[in-house]
Amino acid sequence: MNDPRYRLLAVTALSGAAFLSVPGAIGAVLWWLVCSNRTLPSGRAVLYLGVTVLLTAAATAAAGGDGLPYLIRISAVLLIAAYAYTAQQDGDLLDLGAWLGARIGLPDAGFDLGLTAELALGSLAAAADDLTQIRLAVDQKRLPLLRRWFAIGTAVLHAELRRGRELAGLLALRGYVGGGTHDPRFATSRSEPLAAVLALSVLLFAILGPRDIFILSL
Amino acid sequence: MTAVILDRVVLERGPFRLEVDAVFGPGLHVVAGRIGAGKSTLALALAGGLAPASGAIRLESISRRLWVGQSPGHHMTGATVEAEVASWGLAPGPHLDRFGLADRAAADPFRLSRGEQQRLVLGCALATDADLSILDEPFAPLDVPGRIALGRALGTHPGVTIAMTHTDRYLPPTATRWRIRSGRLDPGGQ
Repeated sequence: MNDPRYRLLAVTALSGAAFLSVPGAIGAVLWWLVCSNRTLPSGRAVLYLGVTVLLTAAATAAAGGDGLPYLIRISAVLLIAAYAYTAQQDGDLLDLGAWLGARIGLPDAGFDLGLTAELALGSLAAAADDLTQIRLAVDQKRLPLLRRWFAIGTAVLHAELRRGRELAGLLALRGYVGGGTHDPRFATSRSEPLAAVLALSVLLFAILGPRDIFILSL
Repeated sequence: MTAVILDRVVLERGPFRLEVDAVFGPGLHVVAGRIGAGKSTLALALAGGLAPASGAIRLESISRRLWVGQSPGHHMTGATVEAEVASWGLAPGPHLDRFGLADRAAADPFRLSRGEQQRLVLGCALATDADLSILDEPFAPLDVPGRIALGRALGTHPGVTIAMTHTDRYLPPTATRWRIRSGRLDPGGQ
């Protein structure tokens, strides 16, 4: 989906559906299979998240809880989150914030929120690059495990603080105080509204349940 | 023989692609190229931080490799400058004198200027027993005396040293030149 408005609507609806029930989670996965380009983040990130969810589900099941439903629901939530992350394009959140702010009569607040979200997401991508390089740098010293983790955490924190300071300085230098002018243009394909409606249907299905949906259809 | 062999290596990062077929033997190798040409990508791959999409990187008779990236802060693990030197397995006293940081021994390394941090990290890295050193833009944050000193140090550094840099002025004439152009690494001058 190219249009971030429809994408956000679909992702919000599907995340809610997957979190609410197992049928909702299955619906979200089916939506991902049919309506998305089915890309995922790098293998290692998926592996880490998968193992974490699997271990938590196993521990829940061992303690007498609903391990399998938890596994299905959280996996679906993560799948939709991964889709949202990989489908994201530079400028999407600024476009979305400016568009939404203008629609509700708060253009400055919309611009600021969009810009903040855009910067936050940019920092996340930069932090991932920093983490790769910091791990490489720290591992060269062959530190004990605990000290290694502490050193990596400290260096990542310092890198992000430095980037934040530099960014704030740059914005101040350019005279940024608040608000701005931005008139986003969205490229919407014909299938995108339909995909968003399908996502909302999945949410409805998760809220009402299969039985109620069946009764409604009668 | 000590060498790094890149056998028909293809490196990819998103849409970016770099092809490398080269052998880096003992001595100083300088890799140049415009901004965004792929110097840092190649450095990362040589350091083991990026797996080639195809081909192989082979390290011949190399027991320890060191990579110094563009952000010296990424290497800091000590609470003080003195502890930072010790974390590289070096005796702080003589090395702090050599780096011109003897009066900053008790300082937080993150509080040093970027140039001082670079001097500290490069000084430590070049003082270790690594037989492969990969330096990504090592001259960038240094002042002129620092650049002259680094140029001299690189000229006599043992093992294989590969420096990605835009700076030609401070390099020793014995350096082997390479250039990344149009997605390929080729031997040649700056």
